[in-house]
Amino acid sequence: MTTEYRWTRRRFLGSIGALAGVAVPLTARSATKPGEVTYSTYGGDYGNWFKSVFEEPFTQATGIRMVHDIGQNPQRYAKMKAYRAHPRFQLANLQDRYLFEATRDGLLDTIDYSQVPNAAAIPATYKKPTWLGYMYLSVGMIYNSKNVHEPPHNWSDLLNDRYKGRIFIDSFNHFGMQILVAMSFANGGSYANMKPGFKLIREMAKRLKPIFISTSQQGMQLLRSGQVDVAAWQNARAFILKRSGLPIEYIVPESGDVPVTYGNAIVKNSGGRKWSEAFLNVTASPKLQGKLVSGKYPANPTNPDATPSAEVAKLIARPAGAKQVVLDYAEVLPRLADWSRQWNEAIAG
Amino acid sequence: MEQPPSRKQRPRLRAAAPVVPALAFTLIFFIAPLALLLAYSLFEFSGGEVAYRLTLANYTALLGSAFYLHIILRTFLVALVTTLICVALGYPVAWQIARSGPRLRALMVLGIVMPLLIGGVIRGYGWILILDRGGAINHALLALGLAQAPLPMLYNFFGVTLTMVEVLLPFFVLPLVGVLSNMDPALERAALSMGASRLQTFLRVSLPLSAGGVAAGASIVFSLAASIFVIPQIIGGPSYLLLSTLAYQQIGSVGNWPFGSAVLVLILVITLVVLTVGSRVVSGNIRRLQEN
Repeated sequence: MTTEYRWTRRRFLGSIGALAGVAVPLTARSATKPGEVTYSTYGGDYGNWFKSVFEEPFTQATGIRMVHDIGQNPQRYAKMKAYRAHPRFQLANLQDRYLFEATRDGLLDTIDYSQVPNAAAIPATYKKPTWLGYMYLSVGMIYNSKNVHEPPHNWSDLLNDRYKGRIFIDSFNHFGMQILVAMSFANGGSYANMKPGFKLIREMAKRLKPIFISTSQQGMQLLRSGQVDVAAWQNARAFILKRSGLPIEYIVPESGDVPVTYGNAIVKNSGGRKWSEAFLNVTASPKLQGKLVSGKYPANPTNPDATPSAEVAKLIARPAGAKQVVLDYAEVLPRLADWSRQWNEAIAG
Repeated sequence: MEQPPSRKQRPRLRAAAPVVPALAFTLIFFIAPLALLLAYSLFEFSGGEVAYRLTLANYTALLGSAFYLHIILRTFLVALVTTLICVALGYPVAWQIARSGPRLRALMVLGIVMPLLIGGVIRGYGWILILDRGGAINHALLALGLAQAPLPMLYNFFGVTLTMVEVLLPFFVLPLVGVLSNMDPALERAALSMGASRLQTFLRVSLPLSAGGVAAGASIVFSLAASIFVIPQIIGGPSYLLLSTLAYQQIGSVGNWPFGSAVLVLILVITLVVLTVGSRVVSGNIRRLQEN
């Protein structure tokens, strides 16, 4: 369905006034404007929050309605491949691994960053020729500060008999792969040599009997109920628990944690490139990124100039000198099938 | 050139017309995806991508690895035990429903159907609250002094099978109720009046007559138990992998569609083999019972 929108100079300027900085590049747009842009993105609570933070200001400024194609990353990527010749959506909201795959498969348009001025300050880790990150979470270690008085500093510190039966590790399907790589790198491994990581996972599985969770809700429940004291997991969920008053802390391992970036990309041959770039510019806005991460789902914004609430800024602040292990998916993906087999054998054998 | 249908053939074609939509539906939404699944299981996965070259490597990897054979055996065992428990628990329930008056019967059927109205994910999380170390059962066992420490009831055979029985029991009971309700009670009365005991009447009259319903219910339960995903994913988790959760991991997370497809084809083959063998055993037993 197409929504007709009367585009007046007054309305346009009014929108710019309301969204200082966000809509500036839109002034250079041509008059031929689509009524709507189809956006493949997340649903549920998070999808609604995302919509209110980024999409509504975009629609307000441009008059272009966002129509949704709701789904998860694998389905979205599969659709992009299946409809390569006749894309079903113009914009896709994806996790970095799928953004890499879509780029490799030639499914994404190159972004003209001159049309995305808000992205100027975003570091290269989160800004690629074909996609632009709007936030990232990190995979590291979590602990309950009430029960654990000497928190772990390194991945190897998790292999401690005090944590027997009181530790969980994320599943390979979610962030287990990131944990494996980080553990290997911390112990002298490389993409070609994951032995140190598997050795640690195997020993933990044998000695500590950890719970390998399959959903985030399980992890939340285990930490909330006090059944576990430590975990190898992502920080965004830890932030939610900490905000709710639980003594949960996130630790960046000395060797570094692994960022998982969420970003947007323009689907090749989909038509609305100019307006899609305008939307990317909205998602790069420091003000709106600050607003996004200050909501129900705290995480780190990709724009260093973002202005989250004081409470969230304190919550997500990274320690000085904290390292990051940024994954090279060109190295990861060809090895993923073999790693998954070894992981399964280590924990489910 | 093909001859047009003769006058004699036309009524037959007209009679077959009503099944055409169902046939087309099956072809498009069942046979075609199945063929695609089979094709994908024969493709190579190389460098993190599907390479469209034919190979049997996915099957040799699956059947040539001790680890995967263990997962196959585990899946088969969970499905078999779930089916047997459903038969043992479900038969008396179906019997009672079939022999009840209309009001009680409607109430009991509603009781059996009601859990199906709640999604598998919600039920799975409900079971976690009951079975985990700090859950209701462990609380009760510890409070009553029946256990010294919380018992492990999640991420293992016990938890997965128990939850599957709860989820799949209605699929056994409902078809059996239909069969038992259609049985003529005069046959049982005749056997009893001829001096047969209640057990003899059950074994020689009721059971053979209801064996078709038992076989149908058991087939449905086994097929679902071998392929169900939500319960093993939530209650079994990554450390108690079954074939369905392995397939999900390979397709959804690793992106290895060929290997995941091979796993799914294997589930289908196991189910077909078990159902074929099972139906032969059941029909053989029915014949023997009827002959005796």
